[in-house]
Amino acid sequence: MPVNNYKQLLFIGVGGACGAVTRYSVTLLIISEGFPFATLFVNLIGCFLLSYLSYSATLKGLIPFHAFVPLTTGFFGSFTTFSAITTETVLLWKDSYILAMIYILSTFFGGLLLCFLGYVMVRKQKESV
Amino acid sequence: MAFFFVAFGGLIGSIARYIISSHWNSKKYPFGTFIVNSSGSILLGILVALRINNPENDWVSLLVGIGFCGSFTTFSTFSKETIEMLFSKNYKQAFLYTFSSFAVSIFFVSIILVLTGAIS
Repeated sequence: MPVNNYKQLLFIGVGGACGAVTRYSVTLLIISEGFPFATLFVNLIGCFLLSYLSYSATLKGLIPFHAFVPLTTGFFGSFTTFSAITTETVLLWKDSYILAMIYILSTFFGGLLLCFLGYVMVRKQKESV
Repeated sequence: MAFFFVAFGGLIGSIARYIISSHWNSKKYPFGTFIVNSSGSILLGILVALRINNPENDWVSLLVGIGFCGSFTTFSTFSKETIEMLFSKNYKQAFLYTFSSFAVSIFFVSIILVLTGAIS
């Protein structure tokens, strides 16, 4: 898809705006005093949903072609975040390096695990059909 | 009003990320994602450093921090790219990608926060 397709860029931007607002809403709902639970939560959920959506041919078939990239790159790309992980890790390190290590390791390995889980669930459903 | 700032930052951030990643991400290596994640982390580090010294500018952190930096950087794509490297048995590449993404961002954010006195 060419970058000079302004309509598509705008759709991605709208997806991104919705992703950012959803992420912000979640951070307002989850108490993160002392540990960034909210960021961990959005990142892990986002990994699972992006992975599931990307590997599932059935879901891909249901979503209009022009809405797919705005939903994946736009919405889920913006719903999850990397900048908060690194900044929170550095800030957390000041108080407790153990919590900082727990945070970054659970984010990283949790993200990989949930991406894998999304993939496995798609595979399992295919087999049962 | 807070939601508007976050949404507008998210709109610009995701479009900027898409342009950069479609330009620099190759089949071999996701340089584009590496660039957005590192530079977005550094920008958020600068913002956090400034905000700790000047907590008045709340709309700036909503627009630039939560909105722009939050959307410009991405963790879901990062994880998916890593797991695809693992699927295709490119273990060295997966290690290099994840280690450099975290190390570069954390290194620069630490430097910024220490130098500005935000953390000691």
